[in-house]
Amino acid sequence: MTGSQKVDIKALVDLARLEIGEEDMKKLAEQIPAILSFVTRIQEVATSGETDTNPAHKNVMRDDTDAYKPGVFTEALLKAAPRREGDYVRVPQVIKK
Amino acid sequence: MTFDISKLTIVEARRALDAKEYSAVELAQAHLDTIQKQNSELNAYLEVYDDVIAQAETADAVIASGQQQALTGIPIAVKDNILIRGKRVSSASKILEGYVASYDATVIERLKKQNTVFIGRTNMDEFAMGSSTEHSAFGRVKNPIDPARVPGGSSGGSAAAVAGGIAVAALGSDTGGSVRQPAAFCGVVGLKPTYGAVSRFGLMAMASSLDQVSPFARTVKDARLLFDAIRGRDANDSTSLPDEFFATKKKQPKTIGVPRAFLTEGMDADVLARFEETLEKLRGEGYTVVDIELPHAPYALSVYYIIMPAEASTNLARYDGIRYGLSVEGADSLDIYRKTRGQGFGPEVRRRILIGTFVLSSGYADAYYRKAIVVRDLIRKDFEKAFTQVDVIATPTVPTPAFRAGEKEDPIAMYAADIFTIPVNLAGVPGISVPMGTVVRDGNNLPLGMQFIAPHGGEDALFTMSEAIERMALQ
Repeated sequence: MTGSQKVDIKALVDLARLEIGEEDMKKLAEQIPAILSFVTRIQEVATSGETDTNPAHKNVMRDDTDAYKPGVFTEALLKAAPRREGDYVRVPQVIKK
Repeated sequence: MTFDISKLTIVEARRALDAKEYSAVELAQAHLDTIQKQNSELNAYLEVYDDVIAQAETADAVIASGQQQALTGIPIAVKDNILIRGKRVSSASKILEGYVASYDATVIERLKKQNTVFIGRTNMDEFAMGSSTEHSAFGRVKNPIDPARVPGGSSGGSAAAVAGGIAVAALGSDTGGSVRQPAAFCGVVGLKPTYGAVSRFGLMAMASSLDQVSPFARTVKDARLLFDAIRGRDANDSTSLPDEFFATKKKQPKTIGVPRAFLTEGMDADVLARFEETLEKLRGEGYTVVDIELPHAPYALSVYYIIMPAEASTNLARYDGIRYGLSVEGADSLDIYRKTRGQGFGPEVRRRILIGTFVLSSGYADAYYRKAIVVRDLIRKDFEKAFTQVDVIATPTVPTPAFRAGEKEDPIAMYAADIFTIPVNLAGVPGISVPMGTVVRDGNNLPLGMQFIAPHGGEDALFTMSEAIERMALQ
């Protein structure tokens, strides 16, 4: 995997839920493959399969205990919502007929 | 009353406050006055809080009662990605327009217990993505030593505030060098603690496996005081380490390792010369300096620009215009997401989200993301092996002095500014940048930084080494 990586920028932009204008898309079409071919250097490193399946860095999860009492932060959090209806965040209709 | 605050240290301010030579209110007012004169030029602060004097009055009451602690009444600046309840916070991004923090970050909670005075929030590269603070949505920060140059980044506002005499110390965050690199460019001390030494609760997440809240200060002693105030296990950050972890680590380093083969890429000849002179002086102080190998360090930049965007693209998925911050009207939810994110995020953030999306996507995740995790582990093992031979590792913090604004338009050229700091975050070990002299560019004495790296939990060794450098500078 050397040289320039072929990238479908439009598909990536869709996956990342972005909307990007034509000018910026042109720049990205040059920059993204350049950055990817730069990071592709790691393919030169020989690695054994063993470390592949047992990485040192693992996610550490907190126990899901000591829940807050309901309602304690409702007002503080809802105050930040762009659209609100009572104690709910208002969103456009999700399921359409 | 007027007094010079431009070089004031925490230690000196503590003495003067306790001796009642001036009050916390007078100290805070002196900062507000200086900020008034200088901030429009530096652009270090995005906002100066409206309750600075009230905070200082509370601190004065605490001092009067004799209950003061190390940081009571000390005016500090806070990077715009650390939450203070009831205050605006934006990560220098338009997507958090008008957002007010609903809780305190753990580091803020700890500083509030000491009645530290928060002056304001500092400018930064948007979502901490950058090495020059040119990627802020609110204009670039100027380097106080040469305004044509960058202060470094991403915590450029915090570094410029401390170097420019408008904060005694500051908080930043360091994911790949975002505190050490600007510390080097501005001539102050910057410590990136061991991953897990300081809670990340309330720090806006960029790359969660790399981020650490990190102090800036004018002296090593001050950096240590600020670090001591914010460190410690926190139930709200499951990756934070138990306090016992640090107790058994070596405090008095004797042997310094230099990864010489690694110190070549993009290395400025004057920086290398200053680095060698500093090592020579350390030899004169009785330290042993030996060459070491970090065989996988040259791959660190590539590994970082896979792992960091992967984590950032995931973390930044939360900014969608539904629950808080900017929200652009759209036909349906998807349309709101796309428009809000497209208009709210700046070019560098969008680039990194796209890279992260690519390296995590089906068909590429094995070759990029999973491979990067394996190589990251090899880098960590390189450090482990090196630390069986030496107590600390030394490099220049950055291969060059501060560069000119607008000089690095190519994203990859900008990324290379962090080549010596990034391996430290990937390995999770602590690193510090301490001033090591200057080089002349365009008639200005530009500061340089010496980076020391220690094993996990080895902050004490870093402070010892850095204080040796400080002493030598005074001689």
